[in-house]
Amino acid sequence: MILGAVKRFDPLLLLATLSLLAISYFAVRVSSAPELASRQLIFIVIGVVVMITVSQVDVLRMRELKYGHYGLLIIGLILILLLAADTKGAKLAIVIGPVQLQWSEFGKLLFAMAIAAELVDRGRQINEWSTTGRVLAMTAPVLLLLLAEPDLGSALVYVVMLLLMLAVAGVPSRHMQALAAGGLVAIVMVLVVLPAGGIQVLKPYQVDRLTSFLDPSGGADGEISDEAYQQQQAMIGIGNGGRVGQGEDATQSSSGFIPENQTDFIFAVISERWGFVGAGLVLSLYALLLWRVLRVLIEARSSYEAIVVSGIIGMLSFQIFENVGMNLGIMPITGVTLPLLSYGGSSVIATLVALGLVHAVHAHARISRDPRVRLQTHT
Amino acid sequence: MISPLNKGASQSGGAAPSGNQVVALRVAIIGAVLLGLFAIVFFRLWYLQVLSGDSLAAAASQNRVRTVPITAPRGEIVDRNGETIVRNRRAQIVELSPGSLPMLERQVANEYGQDLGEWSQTVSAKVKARLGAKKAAKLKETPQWALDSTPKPQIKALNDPELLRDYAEAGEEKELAQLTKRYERLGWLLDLPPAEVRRRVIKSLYLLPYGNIPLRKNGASDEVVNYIAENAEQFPGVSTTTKSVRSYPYHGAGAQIFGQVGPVPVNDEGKSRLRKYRKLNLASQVGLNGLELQYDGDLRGRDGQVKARIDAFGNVQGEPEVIPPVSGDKLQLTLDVDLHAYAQDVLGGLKSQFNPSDHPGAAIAMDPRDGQILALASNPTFDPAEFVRGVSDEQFDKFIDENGDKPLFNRVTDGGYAAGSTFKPVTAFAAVGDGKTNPSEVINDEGKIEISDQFFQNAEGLPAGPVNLERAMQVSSDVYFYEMGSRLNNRKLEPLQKWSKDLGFGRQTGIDLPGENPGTIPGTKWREALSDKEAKCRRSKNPPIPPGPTYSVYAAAARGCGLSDMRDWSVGDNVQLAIGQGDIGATPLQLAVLYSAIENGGKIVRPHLAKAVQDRTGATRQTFQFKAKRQVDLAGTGALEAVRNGLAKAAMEPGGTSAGVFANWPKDRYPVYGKTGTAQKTGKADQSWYAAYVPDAKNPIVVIVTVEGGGYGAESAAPIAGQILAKWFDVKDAGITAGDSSTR
Repeated sequence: MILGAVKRFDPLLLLATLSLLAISYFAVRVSSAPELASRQLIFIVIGVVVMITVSQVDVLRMRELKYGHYGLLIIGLILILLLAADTKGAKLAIVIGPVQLQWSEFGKLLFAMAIAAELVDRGRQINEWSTTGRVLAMTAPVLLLLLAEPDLGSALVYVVMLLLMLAVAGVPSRHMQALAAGGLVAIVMVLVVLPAGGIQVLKPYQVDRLTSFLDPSGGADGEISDEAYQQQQAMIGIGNGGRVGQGEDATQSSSGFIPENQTDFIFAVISERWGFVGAGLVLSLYALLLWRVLRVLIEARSSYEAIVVSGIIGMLSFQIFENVGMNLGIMPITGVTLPLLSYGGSSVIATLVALGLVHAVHAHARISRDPRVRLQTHT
Repeated sequence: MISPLNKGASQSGGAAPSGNQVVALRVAIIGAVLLGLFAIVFFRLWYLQVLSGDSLAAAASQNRVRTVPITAPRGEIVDRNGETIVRNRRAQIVELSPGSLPMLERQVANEYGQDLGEWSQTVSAKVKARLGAKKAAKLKETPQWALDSTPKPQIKALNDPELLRDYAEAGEEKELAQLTKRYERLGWLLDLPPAEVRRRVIKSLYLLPYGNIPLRKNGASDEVVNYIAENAEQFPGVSTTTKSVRSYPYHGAGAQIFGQVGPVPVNDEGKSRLRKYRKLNLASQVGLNGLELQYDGDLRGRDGQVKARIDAFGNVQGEPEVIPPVSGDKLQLTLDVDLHAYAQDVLGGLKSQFNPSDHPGAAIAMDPRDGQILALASNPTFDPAEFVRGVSDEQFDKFIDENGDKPLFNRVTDGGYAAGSTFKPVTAFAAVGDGKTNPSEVINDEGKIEISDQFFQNAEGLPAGPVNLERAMQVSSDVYFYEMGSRLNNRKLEPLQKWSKDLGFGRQTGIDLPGENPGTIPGTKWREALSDKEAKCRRSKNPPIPPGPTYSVYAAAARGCGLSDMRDWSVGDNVQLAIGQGDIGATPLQLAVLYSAIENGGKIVRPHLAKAVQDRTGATRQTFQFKAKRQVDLAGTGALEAVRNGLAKAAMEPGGTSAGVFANWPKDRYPVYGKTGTAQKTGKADQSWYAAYVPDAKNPIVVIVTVEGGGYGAESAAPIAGQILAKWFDVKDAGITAGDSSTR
C-alpha cells in the first residue's frame, strides 16, 4: 500500500524532502545538543509516515470542513494561552507527557485550509471588499492570539500565508495594494509612532530582535541582547566554515558559542561544518522543493487546492528565507524554525503534513489529467 | 476536471477568464520573487563564507583557543672569562585566576579598556587637528598638552552606584561583598592598598583577558607564600608559582649598563612603545633599557605557551597543547668582572681610598686596540636587584631626583663634562696638524698670558718657564695651550673644533648601549644656533621685549630664557676650549677613545661591551665585530711623538703632574702614559680627571677616571686610575699615593 502511495508522489519533491530530513538528523548530531538527534530521528520517522498517510487524502474534500478547521485553530490557540507551560517568557506549547505540542505549527495548515475554503466559497464575490474583509476578520483573532503568546514569528508566517492565498485566489490588485499600504502603516505605527507616543505594542526585547540586525554592534546603548549575540556568533560560525567547512573543528557550533543551535540556528551549524558546499546544497534542495511545490500549485485541479498550496508556499518560503536570512545576518531575529531541518517534533511533523497535502494535490491533479481516468469518470 | 489556472473554467467557476490571467501572472511573480530571494541568500552566503571567511574564521579561533604564555628564561650575561655577571633565579609570584572573579568585574575591565581606546582616539584626533595628520604621524610621543586636556578614563569603583545596581540586578550582592573583602585581604597580605590590588587586576584583565593576573610580580617572601598555602580558603583563585627573575652577584658594579627586564612597555593605547616589541605577546618579558634592551633579541629566547581549546563557558576541552619555551642565549661581554668590580670599589663608596667623601664619578678601562671595554663604573650606583624586588614610587623618585646623585645615570656614557687638561692632546694635534706651531717651538710660560685684552693664567698663577710641546704636556702648562687656542681661533675654518670632531668629541662613540650622550664641542655655529634659540624664546615671551635702546641689555638678559647670553663667539671661548674648559661637554667614554687613538696611532675605535653570543651548550653562535670608525693620521702631524713623550714624562719623570702618584710603580715593565685634568666649575669644587694608557704588548689598557668635586687631577682621579692599572697588571706593591701636583 505504501509503495503504491509513493508511486503517485512527485519524485523530485520527495527527493528534496528526504535529503533535507537526512541532513537534519546529522546536523542535530553535531549541534550543541547532539543528544537530541535520536529524538529528531523519531520525529522524522513519525513525520514521514504521517506525510504518506496525508498524501492519500482528497484535499478537495477538506473544503467542507471550513468551520471545523477554523474552530480547531482558534480553540487550540486559546488552550495554549490557558494551559501552556511558560518557557522563557512565552507560552508556545502544551506539554502532554513527553510530547510538547506546538499548536501554532499545525495551526498554519488549519489556517490555510480554512481561509482557502472561505475564499473559494465567496468565489463569485471575489472582487468585492466584503470578501477581503471577511478573510481579514477571520485572520485578526488568530494574529491577536499569536501575539498574546507571544509568538511574533509565527504571526508573521500567517500574514505572509494570507497574502499569498489572497493573491492566488484572485483578489483584485487594488485590494492587495491597499493591504500592502495598510501593512506598512501598521509596521511604522508599531515600531516608530506608537512607541514615540509612549504606547508599547511590542515588548522592548521584540523590537530589539527586529532591529538588531541593522546594527549588529549593539546599538546606541551598547547593550547586546542574547539573540543578537546569537546572530553574531552564528555569522562568525558561518564565516568560519569557509568553502568546504571545518568538519570536526567546527567549534563555533559544537562548543556552545551559538547556544540552542539545534533549532533556529541549525543553518549555522551546517554552514560551519560543511562550508559553502554544504550550505549551498541545502539552499539548492530548498529551491528544488519550492519549485516542485510551485509546479503543484499550477497543476492543481481546483482553486481550493491551489489556494491551500499557495498558503503552504507562503509558510515554507517565508520560514526558509527568514530563518536563513537571520543566520546570515540580513534578516531580523524572529523565532521561526527552518522547515525540515530545525530540531523539533511539531515543526518537522507539521511541515511533513503540509508536504503530504501537496503530494495529495499532485496525485489528484495527475488523475484528473489522465485521459484514461477521465474516460472512466465520464462513462 | 481541469486545472483552474491553465484553463479558462474553474471548478468553483467564480473567476472570470481575465481574473485567471491575473492569477497566472501573480504565480509567475511569486516564482520570480522566490528566485530573487534565493539569489540574495546565495550571494550573502558566498560573501560570508568565501569573501570574508578569513576575518570571521579569526574571530572564531579567538573564541575557542585560549593561550597562556610560558615565559622563556632569559639568557645569562657573562664576562670575557665566562664569569656570570647577570644570572637567573627562581622567584615566587602570586597570581589570581581570572575565572575566580565575577563576570561584572570583567565587564568593568572591558569598559575601562574601551574607554581607554576612545580616550586615545580623542587624544590623537586633537593632535591631528592642531598639527595636521602628516606632522602628527611623525611624532614619537603624544604631546603633553593633548594628554592634559583630555580627562583620562577611570576604573569604575566598586562602590559606584551603577555597578552596585548591576550587581543587584544580577542578584550578586553577596559576590560583591565577598569581592570587596577579597581585595582587602589580598591588599593586607601583599602590603598594597586594596585599590591598587584591584587596579592591577582590572589592568591585567583588559590587556590579557585570559592570562593569570600577577599580583606580586617580583618575588613574594616565603612567609606570604606559606600563608596563602595554609589559608587557601581565604584566597579563592589565588595561586603561587615561580618565575625566573634576574639576580646580580656583583650588585652595584657598573649596574647602569645592564638595564631592567619587565613586561613589554605599552603606551596608554595598550600598544607597545618600541617597534621591535610590537609583535610580542604583552606578557612577554623584555629588556627595557641598557644591555637587556640592546641585545634583547639574543637574550630573550622564545616564549612557550599552553594552548587549550575551550567552550563558551570557559571549560577546557581535551588535552592542552604545550609548546615548551626556549631559553635565551648567553651574552658574553668584553668586561673583566674582577677589574670591573674593583673599579667600582675604588671609584667611590665605603672601600674607596682616594674618594673617601664618595663624590660622584666615573671610571672606564678599555682595550685601546679595538675598543673592548674591560671595566666600567659610575658612582653612585645601585643594586639592580632592588628593581627586581620592586621599587616604591618614593624610592624611584629619589633615584631620578634632578638635584640628587642620580645613581641610575651612567656617567661614563652620558655625563657631558668639561674635561680639563685631559683634552690638551686634541689641541696639540690641531695646532701642529694645522701648522700653527711645531713641536720644538718654545713658548715662555710666565704663569699668565694676555689675549685680546683678557688675562688667562695657570692654576694658582705658577709659571712653568720656557716650554715646548712635550714639556707643556709633562707639566700641563696652561699658557702654552692658551696660546695655541688663540692661534687656532678661526671663525670660519674652526680647526680646533674640526680636530675635536675627528677625534670623536661632540658625536656619539657608537657604544652598544641605547641613548649615549654625544656631548658638545662649542664653536661659532653652535653658539649662533644657541643664540637663535634664545632670541626666539625671548621673542615669544609675553609681554615681548621691545626692540631698541629704550630697554636695557641687562633687563633683557634678566628676562631671558637662560639658554645663552647672546654673546658672539670670541677668541676667549677658543682659548677655554683649548684647555678643555668652558662650554665643552665630553664624556669619559670619548676620552677613552681619544687616548686609545694616541696609543694605537690614530685608530678611532668603537667602544663596545658585547663580545659574543653563546647558546646553552656554550657554543659560540655569533662573535661581534666592531670595526674602527676611522683612522686619523696623528703621526703625520708630527705631534704624536711629542704628545706621547709628554704623557710618559708627566706620569713617570720628576716634575710630571702625576709622577708622585706613580713614584713606586714598576715603570720598566709597565710604562704609564698619563695626563691629569682639573676642570673648574663656578661655585663648585674642582672636578678631578685622569687619563692614562699602558702600551703593553699583551694587555694594553686605557683608563679614564673622573671624580666630581675630587680636586686636582693628581689628588683623586690619578691614584684611582693607578689602582685600576695595578689591578689589571697584577702589580702587588704599586704604592699608589695621592699626588700633590696642583696643576690642571
